[in-house]
Amino acid sequence: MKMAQRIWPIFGIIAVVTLIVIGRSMIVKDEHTLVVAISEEHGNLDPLFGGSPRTTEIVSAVYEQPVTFTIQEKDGHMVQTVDDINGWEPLLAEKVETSPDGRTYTFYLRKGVRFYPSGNEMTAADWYYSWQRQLSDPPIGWGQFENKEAGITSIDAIKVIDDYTVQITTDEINPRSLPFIRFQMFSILDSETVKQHATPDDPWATQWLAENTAGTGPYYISSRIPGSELVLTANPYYWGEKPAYQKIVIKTIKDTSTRLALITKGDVDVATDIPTRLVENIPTNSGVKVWSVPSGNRVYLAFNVTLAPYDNLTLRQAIAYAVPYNAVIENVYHGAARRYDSFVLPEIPGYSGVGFDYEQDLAKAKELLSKSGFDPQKPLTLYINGSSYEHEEIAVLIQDYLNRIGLKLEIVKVPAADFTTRVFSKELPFFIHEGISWIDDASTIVGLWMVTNAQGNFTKFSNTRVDELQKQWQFQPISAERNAAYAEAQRIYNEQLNAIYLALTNHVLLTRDTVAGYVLYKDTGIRYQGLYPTKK
Amino acid sequence: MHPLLRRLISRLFQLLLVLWGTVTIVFLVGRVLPADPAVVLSGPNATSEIVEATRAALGLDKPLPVQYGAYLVSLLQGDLGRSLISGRPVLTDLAARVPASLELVTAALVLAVSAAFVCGLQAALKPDSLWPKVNKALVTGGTAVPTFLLGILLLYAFYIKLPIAPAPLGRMGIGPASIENGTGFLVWDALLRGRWDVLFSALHHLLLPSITLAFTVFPQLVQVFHSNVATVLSSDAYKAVKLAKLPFRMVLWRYLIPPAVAPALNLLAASFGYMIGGTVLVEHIFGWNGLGAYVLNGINAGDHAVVQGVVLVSALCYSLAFFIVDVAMYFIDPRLREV
Repeated sequence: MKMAQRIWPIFGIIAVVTLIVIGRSMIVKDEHTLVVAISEEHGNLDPLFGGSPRTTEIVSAVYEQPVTFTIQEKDGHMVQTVDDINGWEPLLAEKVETSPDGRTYTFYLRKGVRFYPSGNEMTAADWYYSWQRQLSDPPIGWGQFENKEAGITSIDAIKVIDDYTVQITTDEINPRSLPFIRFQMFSILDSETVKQHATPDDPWATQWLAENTAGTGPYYISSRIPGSELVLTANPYYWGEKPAYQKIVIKTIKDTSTRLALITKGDVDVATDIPTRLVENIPTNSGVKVWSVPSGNRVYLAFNVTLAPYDNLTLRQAIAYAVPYNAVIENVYHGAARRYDSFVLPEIPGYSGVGFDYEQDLAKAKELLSKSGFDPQKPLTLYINGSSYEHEEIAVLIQDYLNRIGLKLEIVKVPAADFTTRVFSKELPFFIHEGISWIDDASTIVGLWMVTNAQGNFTKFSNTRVDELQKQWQFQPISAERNAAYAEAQRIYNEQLNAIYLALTNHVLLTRDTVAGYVLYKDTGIRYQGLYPTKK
Repeated sequence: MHPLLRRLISRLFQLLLVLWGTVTIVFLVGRVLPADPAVVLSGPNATSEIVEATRAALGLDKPLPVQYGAYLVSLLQGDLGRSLISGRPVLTDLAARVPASLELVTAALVLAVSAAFVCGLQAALKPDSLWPKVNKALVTGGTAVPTFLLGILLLYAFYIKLPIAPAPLGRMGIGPASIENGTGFLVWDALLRGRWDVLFSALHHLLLPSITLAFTVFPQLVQVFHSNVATVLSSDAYKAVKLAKLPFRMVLWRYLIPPAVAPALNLLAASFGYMIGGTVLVEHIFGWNGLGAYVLNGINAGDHAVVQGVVLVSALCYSLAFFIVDVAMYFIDPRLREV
């Protein structure tokens, strides 16, 4: 009995030690495998459903489009070309010709491109089918919307000339047509395979495409455990240069500190969504490379100018003079951000920052507050997205400085989904928001964010002159006159101070120092096909 | 009617009532919250026409009673709806995640019950030894340290500082290929198919998360078990048995442990249910792809079908655990058979 009592604990210890030794010996990873830790699971893989950056990067690895993005070097980093109007090049088309009237584009298809897994060769029939699906009624995902933005509203615009030539005629001259056709919604699908999965209830196989793929991209999905792991493997049929990493193992690890520990210990090669404040604590000899790349992510303070007291311009100006701009950049984003003065970024033709030249000046803020006629005893309420740590820090800073000029501010944290709903429904009166533009072009930004009733005009700004300018110039090619028109629109918007521009943040990605080739795209999704190991 | 049959029918009816109540409450709460799935799914640049089309496609434009009726009919047909975010049927997603959570909860429960059994028994049998003090320290520590902190501390100690624990990459490491078309219970599948690489990797990865989760219920279990054993030890019945000079092993397994364990069975069922809910944080820290991670995504995205599905499964697990204990109690406690 006593002997048995002594043996069991020893047996238990031996079992645990064996488990640990064997368990650790099984960690196998070769240099052609890239292990990635991401924070949220990939969503719907149907290219027509534009999702999170993590979904976009899978769709970008598996599918290809008629044309694609170009890249440029900027401030020592490789980034997607900032000027989107000219930032495209052929991909599945070998060549694109534009007609003299500027409305018809002729695409000469690349030959010998094969779909995975069917092995079918891509032809014009696949292009036509893909466009039929994009323009289906009722609409699927973003198909109709993106085509409308590109100037395509009917399937009649698509003409098959022969097996390897397709012609597209837009409704009117539209400098944004080809830049739009770079997006994932314009992915070319294997029509034969997709049709096999169509059903009477689901004629465009949306349910099948949510989980399965039929594209020409450099990778295919070789396995997927929902919520946990997705493995990309190099496509054996790929027509272009084979990617350096044969296999990409993507693990969903929700906890930020766990992702940080994994990259620091070298158990993963890439970790996404690590806040800047945590990056500073990474030991310099840990073998982690920090890619902190200036991006077009605009963080701003927004007012709904149709609601009191935010319809009071002088009050808005008082707040703008009280905002601690430098503290936001230094203390919240730890220097990984910069200031900006227009939603149209400085590199974009037509940019103007005129009208937004606010620096923190508490004396001026106090003076304007007293002129505004607003009773400072009434507290203001600032709504923030409960899932953003940085927005909370910004809100607390603003609360502190508004207090110093005698304004009371209450901060309300709203759960992420509720916050999104309320911002998109344009019902929040005063809030912190951030966003990127997938197309950086003055007409797109003014059209989406400034024109009366535009979808992204969350502040309910309305100005007849801005509306007129957009109507007159949105489909015109870039010219000095067009640039001047959009500069005027921005000046009017800035002078009305619907938004207080806080910071353009950097996009931060952590990799092991053995990983190279990272390029920041505006959608912030990683293009795995561009990455390569430095120790080849 | 046979008392067992009557008991079964009564408990089944209660179980269905609980499930119906749960799905109704979750359905209504989902509709009352301001998060609008149609707006979230349509995205920031969607026109009102797109939002309305999405709303119609989701069936959210219909009156609430119609939506509720359609939801109940779908449920009865085994259709839990489709996730807005993943585009997959919720049932498919749950089939991948429920085994992950159940495996973790089962491992944690086995650990917690075994440890509580040994510690509680030893402390009651040897009140002057170190056991009661060790128990007290573990109970105080287990109650005072929040789950997420314990998980992070264990990771820090056994993953970052000591190379003992595996990288917190979920249920398996990078090496072994996963098992296709299994039940989803990795340990079970690996045993059945003789995949020792998967078995070792899965057990290795279960170590820290199951210890963390076990600590959420260990304090209550050990206290209850200790006090139950102590009560039996001081009872007249037990003293009479002792006087009979029976072998210690027989006394222990026939006259001491059964009466001490029986009253703790309900707590066991409650612990199981509590851990199903308590896995959220543990899964979050250890990259475990279970129900917790799934429901968090669902809440953040206003994905009603996901939240409803997870709550339904949790309620089902909770109710089933109590149902099984109720039936087990019928066989263990002779008084119930006489009623």
